[in-house]
Amino acid sequence: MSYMTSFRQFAVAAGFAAATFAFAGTAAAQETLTIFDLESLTGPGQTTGVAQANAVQLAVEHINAAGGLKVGDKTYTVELDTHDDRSQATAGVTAIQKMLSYGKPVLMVGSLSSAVTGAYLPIVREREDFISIVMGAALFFTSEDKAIYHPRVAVAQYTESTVTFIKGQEGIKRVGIMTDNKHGGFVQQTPRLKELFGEAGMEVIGEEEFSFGATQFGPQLTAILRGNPDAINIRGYGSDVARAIKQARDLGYTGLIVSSSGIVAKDVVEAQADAAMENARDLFVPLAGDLIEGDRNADKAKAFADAYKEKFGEESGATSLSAYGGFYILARAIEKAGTVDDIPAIRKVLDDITVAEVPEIIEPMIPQEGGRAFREHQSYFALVVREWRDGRFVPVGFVD
Amino acid sequence: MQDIVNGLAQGAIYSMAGVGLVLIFSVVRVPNFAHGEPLMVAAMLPLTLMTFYGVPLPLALLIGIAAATAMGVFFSAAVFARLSRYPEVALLIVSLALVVLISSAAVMLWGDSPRQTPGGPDIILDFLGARIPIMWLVILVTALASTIALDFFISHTSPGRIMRAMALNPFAAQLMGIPIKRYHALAFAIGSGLAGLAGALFSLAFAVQSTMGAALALKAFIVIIFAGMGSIWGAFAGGLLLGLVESFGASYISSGYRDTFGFVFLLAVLLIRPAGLFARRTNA
Repeated sequence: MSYMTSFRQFAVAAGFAAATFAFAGTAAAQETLTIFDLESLTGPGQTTGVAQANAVQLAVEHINAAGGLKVGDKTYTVELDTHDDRSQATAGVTAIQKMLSYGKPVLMVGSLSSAVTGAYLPIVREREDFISIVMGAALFFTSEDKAIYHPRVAVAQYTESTVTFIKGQEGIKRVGIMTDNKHGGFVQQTPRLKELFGEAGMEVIGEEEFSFGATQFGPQLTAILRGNPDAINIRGYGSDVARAIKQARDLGYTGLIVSSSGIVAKDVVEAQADAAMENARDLFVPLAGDLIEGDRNADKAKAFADAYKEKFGEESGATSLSAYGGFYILARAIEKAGTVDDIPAIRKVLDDITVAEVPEIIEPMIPQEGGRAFREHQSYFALVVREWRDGRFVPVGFVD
Repeated sequence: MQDIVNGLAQGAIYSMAGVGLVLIFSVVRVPNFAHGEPLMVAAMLPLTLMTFYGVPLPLALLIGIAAATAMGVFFSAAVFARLSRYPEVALLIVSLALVVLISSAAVMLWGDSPRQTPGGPDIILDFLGARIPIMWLVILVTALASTIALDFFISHTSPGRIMRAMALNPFAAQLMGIPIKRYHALAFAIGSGLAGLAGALFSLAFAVQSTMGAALALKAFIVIIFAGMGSIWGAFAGGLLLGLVESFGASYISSGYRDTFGFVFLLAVLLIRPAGLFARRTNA
């Protein structure tokens, strides 16, 4: 499908919906389905969090413009009830408790950070009246986390891909690791990462940590540089990674730096790290620009990127595509289940839903057994390797 | 060597904040936990002025420092002068309220993501195997120069001597006809201006954010407590020492506990030398 066809479909759907609403004065009013959205709209995660929330909003607008959700013989207009977790676990838990306090089944999307998701997970994981489509958070989920579905890359994928990538580079024998100690997923994976480096014949010469939103990395980097590393693996969010890379270069380190952060141009600009990005690579779920430039699902990605930019006036963020696709997965599951409040029925559909049933998924999701979108509530993706060139990130390869 | 450089760069910021706080605390006797907010404003404002309004860097920095100074005068004249009859605990709570109010407003205005002011010099020096960004050197020299200037002001000028008198015995100073409120405002202006200077320079060397004020004010309090209340040079040396303690602790013990090393050091100092490390030296 060409980009123009794809974009035309967007336009036609929106136009058709508008015309339908304009001339449907006598038609019965649609019911409203409220879906909760937990986002990091402020705090250190806000750069990614706002872009994630925007993508959810865009999906809702597209669904409503196309006539809403058709559930059984009813049609619902989707409405979001958005809560800001302020990038803090405690605020996230408070928001979840508020959602539960209404005494109704909860359909929720969002959740950017592992810290927030990990904090509310024990409250909801066994509940029969709760579904959370986690669109950020690199934690690894299983079918034991009954309420959680994760159409987003898990950190375990980053761990394996990072070691595979570094192993493929010439002359790398000594590696330093820096980890965001508030990123539950990365912290959880640290022993596995070290084990894999060891199996690949590389020595971990230093293991340091920093806090989400940190502004100074001097002591950690100095400690790592004492071990004379050939490569440094920085694991955290893009804005932190950009600052750490700049400070590593300021301290004279010129070697390879590998991250899995979804770092975007804004992070580099705000950290004044433009000149520091040489020989830095980021392995991540592809962003819209990566798919367009790397020619994978390029038409859909372009249509999304244009629609996003037109509405919000800026580029989408690290988790925007997961948010957009994830919302459509939930929407399709609700429609297929034929209910908005029978949570077990919706979960059953989610367990079996296939990638092909949700053509709105733009990221290169790897179909699991039977073409399913989830294997034990977790999706898998091809990752892109990106590097900074001439003021922007460009894809230089994919790791399937 | 690199650990020393890292520690001195960070410590110089603590020094400037601590020296300003010593002046305010000694003269006005207010435990001003909002001291980090002028620092934050002076760090964030130039960033906004440059990024959104194209204001040249030197002018943007000056505006930031001026705004921090004005904030100090506002704290003194509009807040603490009106509450002077209340005990120190009440003033402490008021200063904490100011922290919450100002940082909340700043988050609404600027968001919370850390960012660095563009346009700072990119030169990096190599010295005995350590890498020293020129801005770190500028910060250290400025901290030293501003401490010398403040010491000269306190020791050799008439307003400075009046402030010393107020610090020694505020009641007697008032009986001598000293316009207390005016000198309180002056102390706040100088102290907040120094914090502003620290913030403006800090933003050129490191990323800054709208919630940074409270943490830096806390560090400044650690500095003046373990250096000894009332000691300007003690606060300067204490700031550097705190930076070094954090740098070596994070680099050699655990980076995860970086912020706790200062408190551990504070406890150790208070147990061994309760009056503070430099309490008997130069007093404001």
